[in-house]
Amino acid sequence: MYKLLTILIVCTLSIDVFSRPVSYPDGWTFMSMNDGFKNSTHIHYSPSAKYSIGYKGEYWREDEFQIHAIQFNNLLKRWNKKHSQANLYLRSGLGFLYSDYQALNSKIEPVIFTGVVADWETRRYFASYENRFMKSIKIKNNFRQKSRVGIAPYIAGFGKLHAWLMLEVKHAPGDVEKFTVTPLIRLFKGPSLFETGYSSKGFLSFNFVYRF
Amino acid sequence: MKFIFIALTLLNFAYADENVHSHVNHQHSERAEGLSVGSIDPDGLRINVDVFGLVYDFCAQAIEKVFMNRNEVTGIEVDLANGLITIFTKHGEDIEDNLIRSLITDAGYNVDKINRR
Repeated sequence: MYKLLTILIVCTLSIDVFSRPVSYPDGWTFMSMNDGFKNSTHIHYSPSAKYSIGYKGEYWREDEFQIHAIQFNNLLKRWNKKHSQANLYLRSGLGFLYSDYQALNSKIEPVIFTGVVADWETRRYFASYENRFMKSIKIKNNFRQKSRVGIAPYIAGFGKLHAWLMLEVKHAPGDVEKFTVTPLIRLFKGPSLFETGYSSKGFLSFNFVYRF
Repeated sequence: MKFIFIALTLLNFAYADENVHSHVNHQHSERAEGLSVGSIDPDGLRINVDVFGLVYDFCAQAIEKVFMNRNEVTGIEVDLANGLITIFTKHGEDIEDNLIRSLITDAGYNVDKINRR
């Protein structure tokens, strides 16, 4: 029951990365990412187009721990071209990690994480890379990275329904099966973005982003 | 297999939606994409701004939000295909080029050129 509640809370609040870590000035973003490993939520506010600050919550199902953190996202560099845009971001977080796993003596620990996000896109093509180093005292330290490529099967106008076909590869050096490949379909219209996929490990992904 | 079927169904829906809207826009607008927010004052200025980095809807929403907060502006038209923002002002109102550049740069994009008519 406790697990179910945690998943529901995180799914309801959630935000993660594949989408932009920084919005427009005075913009809010709500993101939820749910896959075979974890459910995560990120809500952030962007005082300017250069940085954002927000809450990050994660529930790692198999490892049975949660993270609740304040996350800072900084736009390090943006390359604006006539028909493309590329970005480099730094994401860092500070908070606590909680686990109710019985074998652990320590249930709550401080946690920090940091990583970069890079993306490039035109109206037809998309590519991204991101990584994250996470460190707590004893419960969990890890490094993960993932990359995506995507193509829009048709070019939609402003305010219309946009569709993307994407392929994501995740790399988790600490896991037994280090690579996970997930084909996804992304749809967005106006301020809402939805995507779903089915991974090589047999897990369904569900991601949602809303900007306001 | 189920995933592929669902993906193709969604894509079919998406493509159909786009076709319908494109047809409507073609009939009622001189450009592929019509006024995205607000209204047009026939006696006001029409300021065309070529913008770099305008590649998807979220970018355009930033521009909309910035300019629609200003009293001089009545409407915004976004043309993603050509990276073009058109700002419609009230009669007798204008926005200086430097201010337009500053607002768009602060929103995270770059201005190529500005034309009025």
